[in-house]
Parts: sequence; C-alpha cells; structure tokens
Amino acid sequence: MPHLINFPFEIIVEICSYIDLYSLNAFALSCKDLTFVLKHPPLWRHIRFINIEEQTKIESQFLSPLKSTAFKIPYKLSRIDDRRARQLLNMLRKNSLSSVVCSINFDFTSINCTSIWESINGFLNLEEISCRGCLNLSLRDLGTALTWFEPLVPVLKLRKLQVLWCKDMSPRTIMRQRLYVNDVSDYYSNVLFGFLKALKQLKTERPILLDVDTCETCRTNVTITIPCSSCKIQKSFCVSCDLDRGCLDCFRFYCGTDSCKPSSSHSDPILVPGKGIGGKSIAICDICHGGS
Amino acid sequence: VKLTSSEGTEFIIDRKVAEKSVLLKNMLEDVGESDMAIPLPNVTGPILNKVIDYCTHHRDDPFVSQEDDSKKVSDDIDDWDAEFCKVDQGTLFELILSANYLDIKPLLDLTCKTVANMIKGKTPDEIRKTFNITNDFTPEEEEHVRKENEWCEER
Repeated sequence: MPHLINFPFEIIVEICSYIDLYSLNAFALSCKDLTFVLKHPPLWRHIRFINIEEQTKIESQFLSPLKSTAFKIPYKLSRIDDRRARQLLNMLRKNSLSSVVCSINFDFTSINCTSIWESINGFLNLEEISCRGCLNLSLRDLGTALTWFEPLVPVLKLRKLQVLWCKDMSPRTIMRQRLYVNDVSDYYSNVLFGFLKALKQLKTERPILLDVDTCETCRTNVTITIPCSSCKIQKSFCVSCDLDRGCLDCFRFYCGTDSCKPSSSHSDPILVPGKGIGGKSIAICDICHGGS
Repeated sequence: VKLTSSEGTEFIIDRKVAEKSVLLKNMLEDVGESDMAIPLPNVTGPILNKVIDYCTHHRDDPFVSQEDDSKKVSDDIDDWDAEFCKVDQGTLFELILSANYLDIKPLLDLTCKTVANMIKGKTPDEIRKTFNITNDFTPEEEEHVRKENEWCEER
C-alpha cells in the first residue's frame, strides 16, 4: 500500500495547496519529511489563515440578520493580532520567503494598522491586502498610519486594498464621539478624505484598486454597516445620503427594500420612516422623537 | 483502445474515454490506430477499473486548462465524485498515483482535495493517526519547528 510520505513531492504540494495555514503547520509537524512544506515558496504566495469555505461561511454569518446573537469570530482568527502577524512576518523573512507573498488576507482578524504597514514594507511583491471585518482596524487610523514612514521600496506592487466593515464604521464608535448630527457626516467624509490622501502618497506601479465602504451615491462619505432596524439584515448606510431612511440621534436606519416591510414587524411600534424612497420626506423617529 | 493493467488484465475502452488521460492521448496520437494493447505496468486492475469509471462518467466534460493559482477551493466536489472517493485510504492513494502517472488532471485534483479535506482542522497527532505516520521528531526538533512557527501556536 502506498504511503503518504512516499508520494512524489509535487503531489504533496498539490494537496497542501488546498489547506489553510493552521492545518499546514499541523501537517508539517506530523513528520520530519513533511516539514519542507512550511518552506516551500509556492504555498506562501497567498496567505490566508482559514479555508475559503470557512471564510465564506463567516462572511455570510456576519452579514446575516441573526448576527448579533449567534455570530462569533472563530478564535483562530481573532487571535491573529499585530504581534502574531509580526511573528509570521519574521518567520517568513528568516526563511527568505517574504518576497514570495503576493496576497495576504486579514479578514476578521484582530490586526491593526501596524500589520498592514509591516506587510506593505515586508513583502516586496505584495499585490493584494484584504482586511474585511477587522474589528480593531480603523480606516481613519490607517490613513494616518500610511503617512508615518516612507516605504522601504519606493514603488510598490500593491494593486488591491480591501478594507470593509471596520471599526470606525461601527455606530458605537460614533456614539462614543458624542458628535452633533451635522458633525457625524463630516466625521465620515473626513475619514475617507484623510485615507485617500494618505494613499496617494504611496507610489505604486499601477493604481490601487480600492474596496472600502464608500457611499455609492455621494462618493464622499464612508458608509456604516449596521442591521436594518426593521428586517435586521446588515446593510450599508450613508450618514448623509440615507438620512431620509433613518435617525442619527438614536442610530437607526431602515433599508426600505421590498423584502423589508416594516408593517410585518408588528411587535415593534416603530414608525415607517421615509415614506416612498424617492420622496425626500424626513422621518420623525419614534424612539427619540427628535427627527434628524 | 485496449489497455493492460500490471497483472495483465485487459480493458477495452472508448478512445474518447482514454483521451481523458493526457499520457494515453499523446501515446495514441504518436502511435495512431492500433490493435496492440497499451501496457500500464504502474496501475493495477482494480484501480484501472476505478479510473475508467471516472473517465467514463466525466467523458463529456470540457478540458479545463490550468487556471490561476489563487482560488483553491476544496469543497466543490459534486455528489458523484464524493461517492467515487469513498474508498479506503490505500485505494485513494493508488488513485492519486495513477492519476498522476496517467496525467488525468481532474482526477488528480479531486483526489488531492479529498486528502486535503482529511487533513484540514486536525492536530499533528490526529494527522499521524489518520495517515499512519510515525512521529520521527525528537522533542527538541519538534520544539524548534514549533518555535519557528510560534505565530500559530495556541497559547
């Protein structure tokens, strides 16, 4: 009977190309003859901490209405913070693998700006960074962080940056800021402005394809991702363009899509805000009675 | 097309089915039509039978060229393929080796995915148990590898 260890090298690599980093490490630790996989360059081209399947699952949970009760980011992702990311970087550097890395996926980890900065600086051929749902990461801080230093390489290969659903999109942050209504939209547009300005200072071979939470209508504000107050599905709202569908004082927004019929949630005596999506009527909020 | 397995069992299959294997396809192109059986000394009868099953089922699949390396998903296995891979580990491994030898890329992908799914989420000990691997690390060596990859150690 053939034995896994006696398989041709290419087959072992082929198998390993399907598994995530944690499993790869475990696989390498099972036998001396298999440790080579940790130093095999092609397997480090795309760094992701979990499988794509698992990631898709987390993503759909994150965006689902039940999020608040059932959703929890798995420990193996949440434990990845700046310190762990640096350990990984150091390991790759030590094994001269850092120039191999072409994309890195930090989705749903606990990293902060430091890891992004260090990845840009450490992986010479890095083309893609994805940080979706990183709850410690703030777009505003990232904008500042990118201006800290000159990159070691003058012209970067970076061409895609995804920063979605991050910390400063969370309404809780904004509540803590105790801003007045008018300042709120300023706050979000300033975040985006600062970030884009910082990004312009990075010299890249090609323009960076940016995927951040921007309002599709006004293009000047960062959107927030919160559950619709009626159907509870996570939606993106712009604090400036979507004011007719929500209230900033108590931070409720209503998506107003066909599938979301406010009348069906009869248990809540909440108003139907922004009657007619086209109409510009401003809703009076039933909760705070302020009306924004 | 006639094929002979390592024990000398003869198999007669459609040319179209045989052409799923790049090795056989090239051979047939070089040799042209012939009544001679093609000997496959690296493949046993039962395994060849399985391989032919696979190729017959997938005979009409379009030939997929090498796609880019970024999207490697291992849960896109359809029901027939999943059922096909429900074999003991020895058979599975022999299938991998024959797919590699006969150069049948989709079969190689499928079997590698199956093995990858057996590895995922397991600890080193569980992997050793699953594949009957003996731990040949000394504690120091193991500690060394772990230390090097401390970023993924649960602490």
